[in-house]
Amino acid sequence: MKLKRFRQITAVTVVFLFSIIFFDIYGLVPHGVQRVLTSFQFIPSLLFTFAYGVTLVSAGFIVVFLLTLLSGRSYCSFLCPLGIIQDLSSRIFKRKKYIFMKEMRAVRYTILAVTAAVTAVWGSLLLVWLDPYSLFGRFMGNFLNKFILALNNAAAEFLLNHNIFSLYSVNGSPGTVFSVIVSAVPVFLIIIVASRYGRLYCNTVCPVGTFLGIVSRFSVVKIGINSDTCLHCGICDRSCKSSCIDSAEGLVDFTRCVSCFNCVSMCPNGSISFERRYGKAESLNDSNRKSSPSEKGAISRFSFITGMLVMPPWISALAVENKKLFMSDGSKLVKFTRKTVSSPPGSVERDRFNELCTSCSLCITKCPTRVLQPAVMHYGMRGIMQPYMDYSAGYCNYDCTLCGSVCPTGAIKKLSVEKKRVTSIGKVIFIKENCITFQQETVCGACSEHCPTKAVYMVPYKNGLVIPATDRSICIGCGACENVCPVRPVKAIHVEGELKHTVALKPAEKKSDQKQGDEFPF
Amino acid sequence: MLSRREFIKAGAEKLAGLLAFSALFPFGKLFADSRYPDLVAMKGGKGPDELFRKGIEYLGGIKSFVSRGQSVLVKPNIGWDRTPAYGANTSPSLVAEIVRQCRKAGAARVFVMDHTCDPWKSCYRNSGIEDAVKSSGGEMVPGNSMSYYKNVSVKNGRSLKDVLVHKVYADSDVIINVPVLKHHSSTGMTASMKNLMGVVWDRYAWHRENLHQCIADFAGFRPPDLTVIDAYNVMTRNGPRGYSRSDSINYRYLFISKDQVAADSAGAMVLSKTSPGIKKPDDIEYIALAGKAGLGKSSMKSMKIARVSVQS
Ligand code: SF4
Ligand code: SF4
Ligand code: SF4
Repeated sequence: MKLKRFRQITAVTVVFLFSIIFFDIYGLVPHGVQRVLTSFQFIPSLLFTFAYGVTLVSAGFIVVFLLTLLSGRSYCSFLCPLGIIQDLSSRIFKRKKYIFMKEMRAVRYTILAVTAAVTAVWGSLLLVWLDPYSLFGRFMGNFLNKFILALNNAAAEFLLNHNIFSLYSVNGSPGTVFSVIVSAVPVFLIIIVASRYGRLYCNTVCPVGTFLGIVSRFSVVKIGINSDTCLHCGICDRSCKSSCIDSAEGLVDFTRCVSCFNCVSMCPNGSISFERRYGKAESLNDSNRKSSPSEKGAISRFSFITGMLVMPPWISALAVENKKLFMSDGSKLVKFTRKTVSSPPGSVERDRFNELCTSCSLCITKCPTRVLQPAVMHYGMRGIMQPYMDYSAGYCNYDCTLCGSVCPTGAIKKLSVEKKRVTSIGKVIFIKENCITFQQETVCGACSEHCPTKAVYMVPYKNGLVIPATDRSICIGCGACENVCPVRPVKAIHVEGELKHTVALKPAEKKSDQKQGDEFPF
Repeated sequence: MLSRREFIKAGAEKLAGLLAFSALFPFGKLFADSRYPDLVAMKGGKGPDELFRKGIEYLGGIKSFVSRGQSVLVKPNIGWDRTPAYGANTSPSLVAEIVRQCRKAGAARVFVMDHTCDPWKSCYRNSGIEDAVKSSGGEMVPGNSMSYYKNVSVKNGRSLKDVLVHKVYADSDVIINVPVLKHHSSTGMTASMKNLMGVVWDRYAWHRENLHQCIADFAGFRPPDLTVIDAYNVMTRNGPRGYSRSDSINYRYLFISKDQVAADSAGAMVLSKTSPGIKKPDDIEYIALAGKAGLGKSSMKSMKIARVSVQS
């Protein structure tokens, strides 16, 4: 009873804290909180260690490993946010009792083996789709977060009409249909399965679950049935969301047990307990029992709720502000195709980045300018949903280093502000023929205004006008120029990404001509 | 004989007539115009806040602009995510001083906002203006969402016929424009009139539709009641964002005027010392256009100027 309470309280706290960091649209939560919380996620902490060797973040996966050796898959019940929301789902929607089910051994171990092999060669390619924390992160960041945004903005607007400015609208794209579907559907499916079969996903698909399952064969403390007192009543089977207890045989499959302690609290005469049993790797592999046919009700109820949830913000997104075009037909404009999109500052090199990022969407949620957006095919197949610099959505703020500070896998390296200011993620390209000053001979210069390095500067043109010129050696590819260039539908200035980030030259600093105490110049 | 009720009614009518009459002939303002200078040019002192405190007295004190119960918009330049030392934004001490004086004069609410270029939260915070305003009794108003803006038509606008303008700009009783004087890569300079680009939703539309003309058009939409140019630490190159601290010169000037064109003209003369393209105020195209449109004085010679130097 006490153990179960302890688990419940911890689990709810973990999900609550994760919600706070993913719903923190005002940017109030200190970055340290995110760092600590994500460090205890197994895969991110492991990848971080691959990237940077043993650091403080490595403590996360080591702790999870040791914890498993001590008390089984506690990670799955206490720390894994995807696991915890499955428990919430089965708690809320579960109608029938569980029954013992056979382990889908071949499936589990094949997935684990393939994932391990692929990860060794190509990095995060499969982890993007299988790491539980990242699945959860995308669901929160690209999906639920948008509801918080919509809710906040509606409230802010209401207050605004009463001249109260304590809340404010938060700009943010509602996401693309693609990003929403890819982020929401897998987790909804997992939740639906959980509402009927408990931890089936964790014990069949999740590579982290399978891996920790192997480790937990050797755990010191485990669940076990006292065959002397057991009545074979089957109450424990029915309370086990992992379907891993066969009370008829008096056996527990440790590789699937997630140490939730439900059975311990259910057993009418205390025959099931959580105690030291090292050495005895009892496992249940065969059983003749079949699982009962699935029930349609829960699923259709869920798809209805899903449908309801998916609709509103994206419908309103269709009615976005229609921007006035600079030229009614863009035929006079020189078209260009960007060969390489830019990856976030700190991602060092394209390949390295694609291999380390698991698309958890935390950086996308945190980026203050919204320039970070989930990729579709911008990086090719392997970078789906990874963050890329979408200069139509925003530009990278000169002094910001946030994405690197929150990235839990180390795919985006933490940069100092000094380093960030010279980290070149792309280079500017100016297409004079598209520029307003060339086209209609009026002044513009929005690009140069915004350029933090003055890599775009204005040079004399005809009739006393000025027109942009560029110095690519000091450009850092922040995209400010591209973002603000008012020419539509093709911009007059854009950034071509760099596969390998370089160090830009520092702009020359001229001495100031101090003229103090002068008389008024009029 | 009038009954008591009729008597009161007649009295009220007379009073209303008197009020309407005095509104038609604002004697006070008439006198004010001849008594007060067109431009108060301040220099020296310990900071722009001190210059404002002394300078505003030459225009009759803040009381001649703000009365009890009114709502006031103080509009600084908070466009960039930069600390005060760069001179990219208006000095927080100056904004705070103006907000405080408005509150002391009885203003019900004092709003401060800018539709920033860089991410607005960072700009509000790192410019030091958010803290300064909150501690002196003002309210920071966001400008980052289209829902804060309303469509208005610009009378006599040549390029700019209608525009989405922030509600606090359209609705406040009093508007005090508090720009910072800076070199500007495309328009040559930015100070008062250009600072008003921060109260509209789509500034880039202006870039497409003849920027100088749009600036001049909007200056005539609802001219601010008072303009205070912070020319204490002036960014003389690489504006409007600036690259390094050496981009600015510590001139220690402050210009106060009811005429935004006159104030900008003074600013242009300061920049003329470092910008070879500027010889006179009219070399800044939008100043010339606004002058021609009769929005204010752009010739230094025609202005009555109070020049005040404060011991530092
Ligand atoms: S550094 Fe740039 S990309 Fe990263 S969070 Fe900040 S603004 Fe966004
Ligand atoms: S040229 Fe464009 S991309 Fe390069 S630093 Fe300047 S604004 Fe950023
Ligand atoms: S922002 Fe675009 S149109 Fe304007 S000057 Fe730069 S390149 Fe030309």
